Amino acid sequence: MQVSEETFMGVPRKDIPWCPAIDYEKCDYCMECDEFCPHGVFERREGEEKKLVVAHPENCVVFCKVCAKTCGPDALSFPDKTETLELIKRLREDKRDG
Amino acid sequence: MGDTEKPGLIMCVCTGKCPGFAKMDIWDFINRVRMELSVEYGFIHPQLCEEDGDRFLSDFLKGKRKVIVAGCAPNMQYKLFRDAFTNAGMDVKRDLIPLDIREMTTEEAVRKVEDALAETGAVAGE
Repeated sequence: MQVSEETFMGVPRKDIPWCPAIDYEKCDYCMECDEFCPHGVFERREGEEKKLVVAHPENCVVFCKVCAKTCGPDALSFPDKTETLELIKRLREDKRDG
Repeated sequence: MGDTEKPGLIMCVCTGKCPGFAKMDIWDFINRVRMELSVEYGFIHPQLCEEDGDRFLSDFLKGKRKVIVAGCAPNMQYKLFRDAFTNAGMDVKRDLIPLDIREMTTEEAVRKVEDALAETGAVAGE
């Protein structure tokens, strides 16, 4: 399910690198993240070595980290928020100056 | 905090960019709740689960009023907001009324709030 609008804080969502990263060393495939996330960011891959993948990063709501907060083995991480905010500001300024 | 007090209602819209609320008009929803239902007040917060949301809740819960949070899954809300309620000397299981209104039309979401209010004994519109 595509994020309802294309921009976030005035910047095209596709230009903002925000989505969960799975640490497969820790992940125990409890699938709680996929059960909670209504946006289809994750996809289950039965029978494959990696049974859960981040299939649609573009669907992740920027600055939402709820899946990581609920992850028991702490296997999900996100980009740094401050750096992401700075990038968003830069992209907006570039767009304005462009 | 007496049980006769009306609860407050916060609609949490996950930055407003979450497609989970695309089927409803969030402004129609919150205006109907505020004007028609038995809540002390109703308003929209962009993202309670973010750091500024934590800070807001800490301030907000000083009022010690029960609160309905219309947003994501109840089990998630209990996890996300437990500390804020505990720090405010409140019990998340008693003082938070979590409602999942994602993937709902405005009508369905309003009815879900009505049902929750009926369960808490609050009569619509008073």
